[in-house]
Amino acid sequence: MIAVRFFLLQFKLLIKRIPQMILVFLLVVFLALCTLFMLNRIYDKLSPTEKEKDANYIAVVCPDEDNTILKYAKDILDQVMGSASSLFMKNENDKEGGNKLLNMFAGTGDLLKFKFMEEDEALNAIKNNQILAVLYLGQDDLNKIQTCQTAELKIIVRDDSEYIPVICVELVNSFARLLTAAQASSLAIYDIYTNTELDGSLYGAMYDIDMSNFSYAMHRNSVYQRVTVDFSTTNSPISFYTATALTFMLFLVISAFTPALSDYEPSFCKCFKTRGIGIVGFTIIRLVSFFVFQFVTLTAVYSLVYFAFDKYFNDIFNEYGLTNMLGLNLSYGKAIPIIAIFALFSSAYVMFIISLIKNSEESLMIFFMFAAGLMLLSGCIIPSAFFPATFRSIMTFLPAWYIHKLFLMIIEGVSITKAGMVTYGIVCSLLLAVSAVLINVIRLRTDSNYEK
Amino acid sequence: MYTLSNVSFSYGKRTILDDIGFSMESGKCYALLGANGCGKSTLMTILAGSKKAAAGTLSFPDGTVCNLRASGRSSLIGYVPQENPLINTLNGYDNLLLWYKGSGSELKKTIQSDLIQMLGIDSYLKRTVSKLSGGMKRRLSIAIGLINLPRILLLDEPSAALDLPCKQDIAKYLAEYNKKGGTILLTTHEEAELSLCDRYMILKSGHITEHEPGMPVDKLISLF
Repeated sequence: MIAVRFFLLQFKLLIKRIPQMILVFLLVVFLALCTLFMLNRIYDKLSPTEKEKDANYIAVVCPDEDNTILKYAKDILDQVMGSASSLFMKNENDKEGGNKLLNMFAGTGDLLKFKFMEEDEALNAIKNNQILAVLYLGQDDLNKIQTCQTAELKIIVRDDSEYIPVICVELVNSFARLLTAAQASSLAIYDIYTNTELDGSLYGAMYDIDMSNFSYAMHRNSVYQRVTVDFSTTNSPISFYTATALTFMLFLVISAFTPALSDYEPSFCKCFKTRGIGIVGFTIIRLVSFFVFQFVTLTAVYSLVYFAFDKYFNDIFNEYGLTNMLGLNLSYGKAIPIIAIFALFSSAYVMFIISLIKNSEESLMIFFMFAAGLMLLSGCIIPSAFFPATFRSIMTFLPAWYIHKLFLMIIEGVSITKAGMVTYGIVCSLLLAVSAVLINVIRLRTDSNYEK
Repeated sequence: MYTLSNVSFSYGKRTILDDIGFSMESGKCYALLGANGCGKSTLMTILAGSKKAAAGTLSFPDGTVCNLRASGRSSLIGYVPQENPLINTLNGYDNLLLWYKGSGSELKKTIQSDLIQMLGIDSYLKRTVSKLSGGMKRRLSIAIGLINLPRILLLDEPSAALDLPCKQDIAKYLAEYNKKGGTILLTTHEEAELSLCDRYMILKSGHITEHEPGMPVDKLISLF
């Protein structure tokens, strides 16, 4: 009975901290928006690229340097893209997709265009929504096209792009027609493909879309190649330090939940022991109550924001280049486990801080020292590339590394339900929770022994 | 008669309590005395059930026998430690409710009982503990010790760090509690509390010796 009562009374204690937490949260949101605003303005000044003009481009990457057919590739693709654009208008099966694409081009009257890019440049451009897709065209692919074999082409499209089915299908169809035409004649592909009225595809093509990994492979029949591209790292210092600022602010919000250890005298634990609940049980009850409280509160806040204010906040975040930030690229149901992981981490971190302090006056000082040190060692302040390789692998076990990466993924529009990240988050939070319980138990035992 | 028998406890190789035992009568007050670090608090926590003895039993007048190697006698023994076992950010009522074994409605009835009313805590049960004075907190802590109507009340330095009026109030309350048949075992360094006691138990080198009350302080100290 006392365990249940103590568990429920923890909620009463935490509810009393809500006004303090709201104030800190509002301060954090204000600081976050200011930071994003300033960083976005700086970014605009550093990168004056006009994104809209490039939006109908498909980047072509030729990874093989010694490409003897390169001089023909430009013309081939020119015809392919031109053919694909005209096919959009004729596509009876996907009028909506075709119409959307046409609407996008309505202002400029442009057709689909392509341009050759280096791979890094192309990947950055697609991450920043500057181009529609990236098409890899290696030596082997071109050879296959020349010899009328099916090429396995790799295309990368943003998984939030609504043009995916249109682009992929039409590009496949275009290449199929190209091959068909090439088979019918021994003439060079370029010359044959000037006849755009050729139709009928002998090569059915299927495409496989991997929504979470930004990679798509076109394939013949059931043979396909899945290619993954990791977008979790970034070369952009703006994104990196935005994530750093958000990580620090998150720790600040968590600190508002930190009740002082002096709330519980060592004698309190002694009295608990008279009821058969030892220090371990006492600590676990506190941890579980923190977790349940934070999970319930965060879910309620998230639900409110998601259903009531989602569009409003998304408009604000879109202006700063953070698309769908509140949706976190997730459905509502998928966000709940993420919230649970965060609540577990948050409550474990609070318990950890409690084990280090003697009173509430010390809590802020310890928080800043600990959070700053943790962030430094996790590569949130100085990027991990500057640390020795051995240390970099240790970094991945620090919670701040995980949080920073999470924010970075959100900023860059990468889906955060990548299996590795979620599993890592669970493991990390559980490890922190176990450590926090152990340290608290040792601390309370030491204090009670000292009393003798 | 409450009888403590064969109680032993050690911290590693250091023996704190060596096969000690004594008896207590209902309605009497006993002082557990000794030098600092002699094991008074250890004995109190063993009796309360917070620590487990290496050996020992506590027998009650009705024949109940508690094995001191186990815990779980909080319904029989009330324990008030030296530091108040209060949650500072909750009010007095919630602090009582935490330690009470019954329901909230039963607690309200218990609070109305003479035993608790004597403490005079009614007027500040709804106030947050952090806003209470030292004396009020102490009375609340004693109420927590008594709230489950135990047969023995253990008090570890009940009026330490309190001002003189508070010490007097606590002493008066303990005297009233005794008159109503309550049994008290307390540790103290206060002469006012010593004067309440019917017997002194002096703990030295792991052994207990019993003495009549009223001896001069110098003589008492020489026994430590």
